[in-house]
Formats: sequence, structure tokens, C-alpha cells
Amino acid sequence: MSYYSAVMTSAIVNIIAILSMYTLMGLTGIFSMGQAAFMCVGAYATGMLAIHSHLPMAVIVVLSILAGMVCALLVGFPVVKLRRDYIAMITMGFGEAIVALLNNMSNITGGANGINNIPRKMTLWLGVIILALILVITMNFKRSKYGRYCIAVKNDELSAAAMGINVARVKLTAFVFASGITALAGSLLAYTTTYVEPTAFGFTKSIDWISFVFVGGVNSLTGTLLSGMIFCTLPEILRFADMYRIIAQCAIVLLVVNFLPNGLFGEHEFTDAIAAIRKAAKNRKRGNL
Amino acid sequence: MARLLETWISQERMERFMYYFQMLLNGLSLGAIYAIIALGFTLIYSILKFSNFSHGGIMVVCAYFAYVIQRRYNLNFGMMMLITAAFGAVLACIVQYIGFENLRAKRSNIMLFFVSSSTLGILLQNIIVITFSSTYYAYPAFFTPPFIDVNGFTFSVSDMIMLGISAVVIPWLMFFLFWTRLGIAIRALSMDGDTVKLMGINVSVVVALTFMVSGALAAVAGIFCGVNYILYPQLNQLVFKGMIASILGGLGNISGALYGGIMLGVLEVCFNNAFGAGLVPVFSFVFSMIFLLVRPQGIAGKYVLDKV
Repeated sequence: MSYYSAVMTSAIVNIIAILSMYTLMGLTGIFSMGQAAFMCVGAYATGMLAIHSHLPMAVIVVLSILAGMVCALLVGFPVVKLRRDYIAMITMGFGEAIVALLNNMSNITGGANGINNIPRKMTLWLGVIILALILVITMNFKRSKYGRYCIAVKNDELSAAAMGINVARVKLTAFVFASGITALAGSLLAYTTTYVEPTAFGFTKSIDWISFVFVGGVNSLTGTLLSGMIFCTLPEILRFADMYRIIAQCAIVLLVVNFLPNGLFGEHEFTDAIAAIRKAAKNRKRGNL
Repeated sequence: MARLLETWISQERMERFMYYFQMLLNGLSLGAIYAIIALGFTLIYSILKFSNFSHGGIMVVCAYFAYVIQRRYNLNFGMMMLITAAFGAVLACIVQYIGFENLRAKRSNIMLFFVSSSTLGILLQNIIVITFSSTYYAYPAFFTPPFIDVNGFTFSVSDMIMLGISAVVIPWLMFFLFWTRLGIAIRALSMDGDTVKLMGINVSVVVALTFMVSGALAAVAGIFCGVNYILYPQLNQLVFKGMIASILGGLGNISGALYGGIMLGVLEVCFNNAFGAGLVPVFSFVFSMIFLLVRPQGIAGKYVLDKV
């Protein structure tokens, strides 16, 4: 692949993971600091299945998504009834536990060396198609009944419970859904970079994703998408300033959190702009009654 | 004493007992470090009701600061600790002003506090990485000899000093919170921020003071982590252990931090001996999950129902 398509493909894989963080944090308000661990689960499932079996790529990807969802069910089940700090801690602990486990299971998963020689089957077009698909799915999730439940839970858990929403079940559903998408991103990462190793999925990655979602606008899908695009391609452009990049990123996040708490895009979405244009056209046609 | 017991208990039993007792001592010293980290963390949580992830960043900056001034001015251990504690207090004040002052004034959503504090933690860690590079530094040997051998039990001098400092700091903290005016103001702030303002207390000053105390505790914890292990930029990840300790002990409860820290320390040493050092995070995670299923309010916590 040429340089630009390789960069774009890596960026698309990360953007898919950031979209899953939007569902988790933007819609439901679950602050999960170990989301990279689910990416790790998906990537390792893909790696092991790709090397040890001869299933087609689509089946392997679906199986990795299922693996991520099962892990999310096991991890999320005790914590969704507790307060938000606990979810942050438990997912963080899960991230560390998975990395430690994979580092030590040398005979099955290759230990700290990781799994190499996964066939590279990921192309730019496949990435774009899957990104569009995930975008459509997330948009429809947000507009559906489940999305409205999640937004209610995020804004005020007590009122949502008073309205008859089963808060624990909504949180668990959102957690499993988002972790499935993260596992999908991990699986695509394994196919893009053709190797997986445990240390690439530390908590720094999760915090980076959280920062990207917040800078873009925690309530806005468009904002998340655009800020993900900017921040995922920026390290390549700014490769000469490697160490200072993180400081610049942290400074941007702090400025945005302090002065623009709703993020760069606030609550606006791309579809709002289309609806506004349509309405203006209709008003002009009708003579603005 | 060992000789006296030898006549009563067989040699093998004695060795087994000494092995487990030594393990308990190691667990207590590890637990003391976790308890000090958890204490600073719980203080902020009980006052401001959010998890301060930047506590680890303050720890690592103070640890490196202590190393630098020790190298430069050749101080002894006590002076280094006092100066670094003062530096930690000032740094925590600055961190609070940059990260949380605006958010508190606007009464923002708690998730913004989370993002701000974790970003500050990563920022402080990366400032250290850029300034000092990722190599590991080691403190000079403060205590010679580093170990004391008593009847076959090995006590590490730094661990004993750590336990001594914990034993002094915690009663002092209780005294400060319950018997001084500022401490009463801090406890009042934890109950209701608006009424405290109506009573004429300057909330900004009280919050800054809380962060100063927490920063001094972080400095002490950072120095001890550096002295006991080694000085490396990822020291800030120990704050998560402190967080788990305070959750296990009961979030928001000062004595809970102590219990949780010691329990976590002893458990980690037991897992280390049983399963090897690599798998310790896995068993800690499984244990904390089971503990949260069985007793979510922690050891010393109470079930508090939300009121509308």
C-alpha cells in the first residue's frame, strides 16, 4: 500500500474505536478507562484464529466481535449497578489484567512477543465501508429507543429510574454494544498491522480516545468523528515533534474542557445542518409565512 | 525467642510459620505505601466527590524533584522529605487551579472532572518523560544497612520508616479533620458546598488547602515508591492501586483507605508468592470484582441512598 493509504487505514481503525467510545461516554456517560483491553481481546482472537485455523476473514471478524462482547458482559455485570468511579476502576483493572495474562501465556499466545504473520487482508476501501457502516449503526442507535434511554441515564440516573428505565440493563447493553465495536476495531487492527502484542493496548490509549471524544464534543457524533480524524492523522503530520505532541494534545484537551465544556461541536450534528438547509429552502419557497 | 519456641514446635513448622510471617510483614509494608496513596486520593474524593486521577502525576513529579534536590544539595532523608512535601503541596494547588477551579465554579458534569484529572495526570507524566527521558533512576542508599535481621525475620529499614510515617500521619490527619477549624470547614464542605458559602467560609481557600494536604501525602508516597522500588516515569500508575485500595476500603472513608491499602498489600504479596509476579494483576482484578459483588460499599463504607 502506498504511504497515504496506509496512514488512512490505520487512522480509520482508530476512528472506529473512537466511535465506540462515543456510544459509551457520549451517550451513556460510562467512563471506561480500559477500553483498549477490549481492542486487545478482539485483536488477539483474530490473531489466534487467523493463524491456527483456516476460516474466512468475515467469520473470524464476527467471532472476535463475539469474544469482545462476552468479555464485556463478564466485566460489566458486577459494576453497572455501582457508581461511575467504580466502572472506571474496574475497566482499568481489567485492562491491566488482560495485558498481564497475555504477557504470561507464552505457549498459547506467544507471550510478550505477540502473534506475528497475520495475513494482511485489510485495504482502504474495506476500512471506509466498515467505517460508514459503523457510523450508520451508531447514528441509528442514537436515534432509537435505546439511544434515548442511554441519554436519559447519562443526564440523571435517578430521574431515569423514576421514569421506569432499568438503568443497570441500559448501561450493560451500551457497554456490550460499544465493546463489540471496539473488538471489531481490534480485529481490523490485527489485519492492518499483521502483528499484535500486549503492551500496545495500555491505558494511555484509552485516555487518548477519551480526550479525542471530549475535544470533538461529547454529545455530538459528528464532532467525535471529525476530532478523531484530525487527531489520528496529526501524529503522522507532526512526526518531527514526537515527544511534544502529547503535551500539545493534553493542553488542547485542558483548554477545551475549561472553556468549551461541550467540546468543539457542542450538540450540533451534521444531519442538523442538512435539516436546517432543507427548512430554509422550504421557507423560501413558501415565502416565509 | 525462636529458640524457646523451638522446643515446643517442630523445626519444619517453625520455618513454615516464619515464612508466612515474613510474607505478612512484606504485605504490611506494601500495604502501607498503598494506604498512603489511597489516603491522599480518598481525601479529595470525600471533599469534592470525584476521583482525582492526577494524584499519580503529582506523585511522580515529587519523586523526581526529591531525586534532583537530593543529588544537588546532598540532603539527608528527613530534610528531603519535608522540602518535597512542601513542593507537593504547592504543585497540587497549581494543579487544582489549572484543572478544577473553572469546572467547580461552573458546577460542571462530573465527567469533565474525570477527563480533566486524567489529562493532567498524563501531562505531568509526559513532562517528566521529556525532561528526564525514560531511563530509570535510583536514589542513593539512605539507610545503611538496608535490612535489619531480627531472629530470622528480615525487616527493611525503609519499610519500617514508611510504617512509622503512616502511623504518625493518619492520627494527625484525624486530629486535623476533627479538632481544628480548618478541618471542620473541610468536613462541612464535603456535606454541602452552598451552605458552607452562606456560612461565610471561603470555599476556594478550603479546597486549595485540601489539595495541599493531598499533595503533601502524594509527595511522601512518591518518595517511598522511588526509594523502595526504582524511579521511573510510570510511577503514576500506582495511583490506580491506591484507588482500588480505597474502593475496597470504602470510598470516601479515611479509615477505609487504611484498611483497604493494607488488605490490598497483603493480598498482592500472597498472590505473588502463590502464582508468580506476572499474574498478580489478574488475581487482584478477579478478587476486586468478587469483592465488589459481595460487599460493594467496601470494608468501612456505608450504603448511602441517593435522595432527590
